[in-house]
Amino acid sequence: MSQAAEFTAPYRLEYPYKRGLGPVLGAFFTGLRSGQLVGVRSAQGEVFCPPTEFHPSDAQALTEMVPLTGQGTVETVYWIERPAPHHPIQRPFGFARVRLDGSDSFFVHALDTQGDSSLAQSGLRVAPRWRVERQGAITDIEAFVPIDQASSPEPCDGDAIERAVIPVGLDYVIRAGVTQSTFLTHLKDRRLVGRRSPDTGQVLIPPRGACTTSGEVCDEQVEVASTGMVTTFSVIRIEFPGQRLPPPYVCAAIVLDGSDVPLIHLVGGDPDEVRMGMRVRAVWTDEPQASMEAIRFFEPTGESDAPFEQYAEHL
Amino acid sequence: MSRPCAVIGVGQTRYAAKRQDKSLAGLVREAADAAMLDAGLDWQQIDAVVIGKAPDFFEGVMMPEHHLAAALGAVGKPMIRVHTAGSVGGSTAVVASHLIQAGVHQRVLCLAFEIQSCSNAMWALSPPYPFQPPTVAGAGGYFAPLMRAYMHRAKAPKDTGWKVVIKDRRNALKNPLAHIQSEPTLEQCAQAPVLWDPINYLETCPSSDGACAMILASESAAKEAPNPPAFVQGTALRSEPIFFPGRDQVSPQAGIDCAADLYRQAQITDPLAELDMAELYVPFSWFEPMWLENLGFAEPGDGWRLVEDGVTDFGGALPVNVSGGVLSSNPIGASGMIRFAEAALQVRGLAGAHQVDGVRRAMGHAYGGGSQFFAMWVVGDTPMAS
Amino acid sequence: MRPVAIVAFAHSELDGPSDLDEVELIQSVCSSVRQQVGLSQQEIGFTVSGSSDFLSGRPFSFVSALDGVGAFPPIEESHVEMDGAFALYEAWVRLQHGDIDTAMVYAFGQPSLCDLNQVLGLQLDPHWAAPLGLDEAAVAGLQARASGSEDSLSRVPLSDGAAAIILVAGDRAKSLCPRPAWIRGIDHRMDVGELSQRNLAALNSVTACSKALRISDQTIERAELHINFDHQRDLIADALGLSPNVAVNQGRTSAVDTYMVSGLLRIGEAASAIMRGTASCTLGHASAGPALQQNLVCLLGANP
Repeated sequence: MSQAAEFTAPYRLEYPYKRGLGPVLGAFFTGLRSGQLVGVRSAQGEVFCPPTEFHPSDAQALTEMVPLTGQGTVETVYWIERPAPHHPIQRPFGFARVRLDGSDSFFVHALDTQGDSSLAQSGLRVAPRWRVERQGAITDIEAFVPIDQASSPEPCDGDAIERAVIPVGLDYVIRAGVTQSTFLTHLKDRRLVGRRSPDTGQVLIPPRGACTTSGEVCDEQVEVASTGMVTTFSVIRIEFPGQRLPPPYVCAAIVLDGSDVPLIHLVGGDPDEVRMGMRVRAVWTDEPQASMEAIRFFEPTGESDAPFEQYAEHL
Repeated sequence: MSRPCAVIGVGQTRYAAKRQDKSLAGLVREAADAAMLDAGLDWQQIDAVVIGKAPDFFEGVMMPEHHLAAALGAVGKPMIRVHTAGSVGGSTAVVASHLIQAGVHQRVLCLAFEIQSCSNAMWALSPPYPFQPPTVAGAGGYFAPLMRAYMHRAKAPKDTGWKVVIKDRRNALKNPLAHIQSEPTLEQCAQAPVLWDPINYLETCPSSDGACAMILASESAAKEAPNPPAFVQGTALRSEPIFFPGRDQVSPQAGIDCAADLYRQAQITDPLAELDMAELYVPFSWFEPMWLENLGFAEPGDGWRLVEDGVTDFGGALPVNVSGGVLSSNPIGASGMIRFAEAALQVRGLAGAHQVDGVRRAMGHAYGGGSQFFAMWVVGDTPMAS
Repeated sequence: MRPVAIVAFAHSELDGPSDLDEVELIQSVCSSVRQQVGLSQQEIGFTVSGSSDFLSGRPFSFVSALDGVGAFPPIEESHVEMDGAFALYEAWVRLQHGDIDTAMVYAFGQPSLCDLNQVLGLQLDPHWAAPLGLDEAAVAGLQARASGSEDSLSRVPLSDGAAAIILVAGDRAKSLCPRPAWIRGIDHRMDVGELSQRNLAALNSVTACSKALRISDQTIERAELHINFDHQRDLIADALGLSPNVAVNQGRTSAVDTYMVSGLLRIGEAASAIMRGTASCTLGHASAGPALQQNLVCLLGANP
């Protein structure tokens, strides 16, 4: 029944996010790079590590930084027998909440007991195992380990840290949906097939899962021509990542003959020649493809322009 | 059954291309602290928090309101996160006002923010997602054709857009919080590089970091506030789909209907005469004449005349965007709320160097998506008589 | 407060990944609830939805969903980047103003497009928690252990889907539905955010809602709780103060988790029991945030 399985595509969302830290988190990360855990003290004398800039109970700003020994006691462990690739330790380990000596909150990090879950229990005395090369990140600590396995960090100093680059990467698998998949299948045959709304009788292309005005399902498929007219357009002169044509190029709203809605696409040729009302036709790629990119761009047909009245309603 | 709602506190951060001097929490607190100080309140006096921002991909934190609970004094309280595309700053204020008008809460903190310097605005707005048309060219690429269509329909002179830019940037010089602090000359406007024809670099909003906060309160809570309140005299939201046959994207029906609902609530029949100033969401210069028509300040085709005649200048009959507008500061999630907040500041007489004399009623306007989401309010120095 | 009732509820198929896109999912549930009460979209006073961009990886994913609603002539509409249950709360608030009587709430989510376990790690502190590779399971696991549960985690199966509900205020509810499910109370609260500072065993936000709604004074027959992992059921039930003879998660749709829709589904199920006449006092619950940080409770009854 569904052809949608063909229309799946992987998509990776990733960015190296640049974060301002402010003085409190800045001090925390500077401390990490030095191999020192630093907390923040509230007016009531509580110490939080990792430090938070604001008190959860009364929202007061917290600013007084307090050094800690880094030693502490495990309070809770969640053991992971089969780590995933995104986990910090790639043999059986636990995520743990550790009550650091001198702190009133918990430090959350990996707990590495060499794969021995019986050791990873509440009450275990632990300390950080520091990375040799550190940059001012939570991963400067590789994991917490039983105290007798911890050792002093190698020195690693520098200017106060005020910003951090923290990359994020997520993988998605995107599906096109039933209506869109059908539309894309027709594009592979170089056919532009829209849908007619049962209420308005108008043809929408590209088709959506419903008539956009009434919200009713549009079952009737209607083929439209691959020629049409430019209603309005812009000449893109700015460069940006992911562009398909080098600027300057034209991005236009084109109403195909037989359609009642404009479709956004590229117009090739000399950008200075493009006009409102210009008649255009689709230029297809040599290789058929089930994608909007099957149309490389639209080009002028050379016919005389459509009169303003014909496209005025689309503006 | 709808109770009066007042604005008793406004706070904004300094807007800039990069506010990496603070963390996420630190930056939103800069705005929230200022609003709380203005309202003369302690954190435990706030009943609920309504927060709004644009897509979370800007900062790479999913639903950051959870992380910001302590910073916003929201622990133990109700918190709502609004997301309505570019209009979100405005709709966040509207949702917050609903809580007061419904009598659910007495004092609500609403806040909107964006830290665009964490990533890249064009990437965050239009990442290369599969099965999308391959023509993304940023917001400018989407809106430039609409501006071309307007210029054609209205037969407007070429320099109208430039005059809007000069006006807004000149106004920003009186607003120490505004991001862009330089006023271009007409010649510079004429010669600026064109990004998306016909829009050039100077006619385009900046990418900014920042946050804006307001404290909304019931009538009785407003009586205890140390500084003069502004009363919400009307709020409206309208949405329409992005593509449908016959859609007028230059003067969308949703904008017209939203304004009509707003004016009916505020008992306004002649907005040009009855409003003393307006903060309109103008991210590209030509949107000022377009919105002036859409909102009924001018007849269709005549919006540009108000600009040319100086009506929307600081000293004109309807000053528009005396804060500098979106053209001078644009943290996308916050920009709508900044319009609403600046309108309130004007009514309260607290706008400092960019205060217009004698403002009794002002409008805040925000839009988003493909000109399809609208949020608006009118604030005045008295509540509406019920 | 003005009495508001749920008069219609619809949901999509909830059997895992869906071939439909968000427009198709929304179209069917919105169309269904409107048909249930015989209202056109134009006759509905306020429409509000819930969804998350991070689930689909696309900014403004709710914007295209609007194409499935029939939003022209323009409608009064809003959206929260939250579970649909919170959109329902926003609609309930709006109906208190008295100028409109009807609202439609919808939500959609397609967790099959992403690795939800990993995506939810991004809800954590971006500086020191997310970069550690803490994921949904690890956070839930820490909470389970902190609450004294030693069992392995059992995740509620995920599904794509959508749901919609119609709310009507005042007497009009009775003209549109023979047995409206009246919202006798609705409240939501946020707990401490940082995993480092949170008391993971005590769901303070649930307890606060329970007190505010006087749950202990009610004779609740059924409760539909939004859980992501099985062990959370007892945690939430205890924090609510539910008596042991309350039927928990008997609703057909309560066996799956359609992220961003689940809370709305739970409220819909709780309401359905009343609309069918099989119960007179029920409870729907929604949760959000890491380790059940934010919770919403909706008390429903056969009378206002």
